[in-house]
Amino acid sequence: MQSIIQLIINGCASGFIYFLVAFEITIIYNSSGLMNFSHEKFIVFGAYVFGGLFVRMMGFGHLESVVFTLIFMAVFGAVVAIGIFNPLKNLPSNVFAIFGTVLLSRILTELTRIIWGAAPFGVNGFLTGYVDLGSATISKANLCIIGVSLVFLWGQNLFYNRTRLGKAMRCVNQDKHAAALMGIDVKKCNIITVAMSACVCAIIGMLIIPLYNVDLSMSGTIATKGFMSCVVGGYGTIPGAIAGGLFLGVIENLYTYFGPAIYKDAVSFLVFIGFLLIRPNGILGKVKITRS
Amino acid sequence: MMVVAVTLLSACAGKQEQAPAAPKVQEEETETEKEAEPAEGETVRIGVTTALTGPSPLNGQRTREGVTMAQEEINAQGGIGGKTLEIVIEDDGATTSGTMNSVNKLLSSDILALIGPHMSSNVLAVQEQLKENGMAFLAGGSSPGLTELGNEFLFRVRPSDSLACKIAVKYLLDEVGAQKIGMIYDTDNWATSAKEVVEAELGAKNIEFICEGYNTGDKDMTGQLAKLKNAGMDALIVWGHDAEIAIIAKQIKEVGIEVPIMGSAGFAMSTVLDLIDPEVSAGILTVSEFTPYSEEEGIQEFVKKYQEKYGSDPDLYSAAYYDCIYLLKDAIERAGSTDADAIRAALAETKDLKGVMSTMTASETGEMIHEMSICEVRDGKAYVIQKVYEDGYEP
Repeated sequence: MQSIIQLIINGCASGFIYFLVAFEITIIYNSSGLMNFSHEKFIVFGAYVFGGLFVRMMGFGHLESVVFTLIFMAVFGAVVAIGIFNPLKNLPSNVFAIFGTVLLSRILTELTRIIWGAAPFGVNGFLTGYVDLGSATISKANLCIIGVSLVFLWGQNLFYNRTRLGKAMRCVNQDKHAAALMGIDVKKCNIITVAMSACVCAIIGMLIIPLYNVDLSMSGTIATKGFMSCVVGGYGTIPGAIAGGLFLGVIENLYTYFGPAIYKDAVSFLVFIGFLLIRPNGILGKVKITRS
Repeated sequence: MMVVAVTLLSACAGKQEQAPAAPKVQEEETETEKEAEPAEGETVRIGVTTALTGPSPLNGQRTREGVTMAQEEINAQGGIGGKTLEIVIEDDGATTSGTMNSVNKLLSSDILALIGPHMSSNVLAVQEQLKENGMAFLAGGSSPGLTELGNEFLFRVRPSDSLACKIAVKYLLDEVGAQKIGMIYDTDNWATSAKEVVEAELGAKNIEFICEGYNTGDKDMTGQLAKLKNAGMDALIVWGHDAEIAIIAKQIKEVGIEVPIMGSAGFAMSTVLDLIDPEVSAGILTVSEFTPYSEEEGIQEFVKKYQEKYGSDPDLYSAAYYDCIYLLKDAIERAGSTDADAIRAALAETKDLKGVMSTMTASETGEMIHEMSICEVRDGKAYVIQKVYEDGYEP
């Protein structure tokens, strides 16, 4: 019993990480119709900027470093939007912009390797420690992931429903031409979206440092699972991202109670394929699947 | 006019051809002839193949530092049997093809014996060729199968993994008093064979054994650890590569496992311990052949000399290959000749030679190392708590 509670809580933590990944994929997809294939490297880059640049090289405290990393990544995201997304999006095919992001991910990987080296490192004292809940021992990092994600959920809800900018961005998601006719600056909305997405990537990167260390391959599995969460929950919707992320996270962690843990990832992939075959719209999906 | 142009061109071409060759000659000079030479002219040449480039260049650098230090000491004391010791280092980039090239090059450069390769897979790639050439070599690969190849020219200067596993099990049974042992291991060839050794050892003693595997590159092993915990064990063995065992150490705490942990040699190295909070790594046990934080006098002296010379702590590469040079010096002096076969025979008769890492004695299968240390991690550093010897090799 004790370990089942522990597995569910840890499953929720992984699930929320998948949700955050699904969120940053979704907002870019909604605002520009593109898949950002370099998002995985945004996560790694965010972690390196936090751990490598601000904490290790400049010696800032953890809290300051978090703030500086978010600012840094927002600017970085805006530059990527202005330099790659906006110019390439208007070309005759989406393929150009998508390839732009694939190449960007290579550039980011090599850049990270050149600046900080190939050896992994940890950030000592950052979100370390464990909390004994009586029936389960949970790492502070996992509790922090759940806490930050809940605050994030509430914040994004407020942003999209209560602020002028958030409402404008929802307009852009629904219909770019109509939004432009209403006087909304679509380009500016895109830039802000990519900057926000880069910040979310940085948050993910920082949250998983205590679990996985800062490593060039730290985000491989979660990036894939994040994408799968989008599909399982319902592609292109934020409630879908939450449902998909939590569903996958809890299922794969609970599975380890019953079967050999080494096939944990395989279980997620099977669930994913099952959804593609049986319910391609996802758990909450209302997206129309068009067949050509 | 034409003639002038043509001669000019060819002159340029000639220069260009020569240019890249020049620094190479210099490099060889700096690597081979370093310190004062006792007897002009007569030399003893030893080849070293190591990874100066590739994924782990630090290992090659430490190897070079170790052998160079031994070479300088020996030459300062009059060389080997009055002859100057020369060392030829070739880079193998830690790859199989790189090792074959470097060994070919070394075989044609008049060496008496070879040190390396370090990795088991690379040893397998060149051992047949070295045997055909009658070249004795001191290999570093720790895969148990190497000494079962029946190659009498192969001598191993690091403990076999089967020895490490046996020592780990012996310590857990005798000192910790474990009755049911769990193990989490990488599912690659290296760690799986370690698991098989542990399983066989415990099976022979009728001790309960439970194990869970994970794949190289996995990030979340909490599922496996939770299962082991629920099965109720009173000691846990962790066998894996650097990046994963650092993560496992953290997740052990997270899952709430409180039994003694015995890990593979990675836990004695700063590359792994630097990734783990000292609080989390405190108390982890590991079997290792070398740690600079030993209180033994010989090791302390070596560490001090090394720090003065290179400004960093030596690691097991420095120590193992430093010892190799002395091992060969001893064999060549006993052989009394520079005949390759005589040197091989002398190496096979090595007995009780005191090195930095351990006292070396050649077994029938060419194993030189028969002791390891049980280390305990404190403040992020591995300290020796007990020396353990293979049966029949106790001092």
